[in-house]
Amino acid sequence: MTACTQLDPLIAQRASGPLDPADTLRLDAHLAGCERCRAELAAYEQTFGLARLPPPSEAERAAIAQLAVRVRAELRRGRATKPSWRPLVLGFAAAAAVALAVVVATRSGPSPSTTGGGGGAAVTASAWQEPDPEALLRVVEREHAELAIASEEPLDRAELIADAAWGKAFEEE
Amino acid sequence: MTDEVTDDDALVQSFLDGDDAAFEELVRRNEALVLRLVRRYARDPDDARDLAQKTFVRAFEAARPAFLRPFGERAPFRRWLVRIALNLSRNHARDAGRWTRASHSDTDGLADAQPHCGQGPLAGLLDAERSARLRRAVLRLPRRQREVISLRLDAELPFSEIAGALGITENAAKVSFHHAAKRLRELVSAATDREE
Repeated sequence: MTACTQLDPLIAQRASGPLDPADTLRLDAHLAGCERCRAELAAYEQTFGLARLPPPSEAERAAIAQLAVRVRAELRRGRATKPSWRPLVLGFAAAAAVALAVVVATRSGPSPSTTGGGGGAAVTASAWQEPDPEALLRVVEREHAELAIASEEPLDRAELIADAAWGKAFEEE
Repeated sequence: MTDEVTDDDALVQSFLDGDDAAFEELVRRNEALVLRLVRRYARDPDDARDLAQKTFVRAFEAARPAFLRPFGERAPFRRWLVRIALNLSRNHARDAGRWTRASHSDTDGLADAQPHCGQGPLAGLLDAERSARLRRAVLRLPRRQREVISLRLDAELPFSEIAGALGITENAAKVSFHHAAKRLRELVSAATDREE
C-alpha cells in the first residue's frame, strides 16, 4: 500500500477538483483502507469549501448579461478611434522632409536676408523643430503599454523573494 | 489541446475574417470562466463586469497579431484570457490599494450563512466568519500560490491548463498548490482551535 505521506499532495488536489484517472484509482484504493487519509480529505474539503466564493449572485449574472455585445462594441470603437503609431511616424517624417526642403531652398537663394519678401519660408523653417526621436518612441511605447500586460510577465523581484521565503518557512516546519 | 480550446481559436479566426457573430459566441463561451477569475478581486458586480470586459478586449488585441501570422506557433486564445484576467485583477486590486472582495466577503459570508442541517444560527455565523477570513488569506498568499489556488478553486481548471496559463511546469503548479493548500488548512485549524 502507498505510504500516506506520499499521497498527501494528491489528497489536497482531489479535495479541490477532479484528478487524472490514474491518480484517482490510486488514491481511491488507498482511501478505502485508510481512515486517517479519509479524515485528511475531509479537512481539505472543508478548507476549500470555506475559501471558495459563493456562486455568482443574481446581480453578478445580470451585470454580464450583455458582455458579448459590450466587448464587440468596445473593439469596434477601439478600431475606429485608436490612433496608430504608424501614421504619426509617417506624418513626422513627411513634415521633416518638407522642413528640410524649405531650409535648403532658402539657403541656396540669392539673398541671405530673412526680413525681405522671401522671408516667410525661412521664418517657417526657423520655427520648425526637429522631431524628437525620444518623444516618438514614447508615443509608440504608450501605444503598446496597454498590451504589455498580456505578455509573459515575469514575477517581480519582491514577489520572488516572498515566494522563496514562504517556501523555506514551509519546508522548515 | 481540448476541442473546446481549438473551437475558441477557430472563432477568433472567423472574427478576424469578418464574422462578428463569432466573437460574440467566443465571449459567451468564456464569460463564466473570466467572471469566476475576476470576481474575487472585484468590489461589486459592475466592477467585475468592467474587469471581464477589459479582459476580453485586451486578450483579443494581444492575441490578434499571433492569429494574423500565417506561420508559427501561437498560444491558444483561452490562455491569453486567463493570463490577462489574472494580471488585470491583480493590478486592479493593487492600484486601488484594496483587496476588495475580501472585505466585502465578510458581508457576502454573512448573507450566505445558512445553517446546515442540525447546525444552529451561531454555527452558521462562525462558518461565515471563517470563510471571510480564509478568502482574505487567499489574497495574501504569495503571487504564484494565489494564482494557482484561484485557477483551481475559482476557474476549476486542471493542473495541465493551470501550468500552461502560468508558463510553468505541471509539477511546479502542483507544488505551489500544495504549499497554498497546507497554509490555508493551517489557518482553518488554528481558527478552529481558538474557537474551541
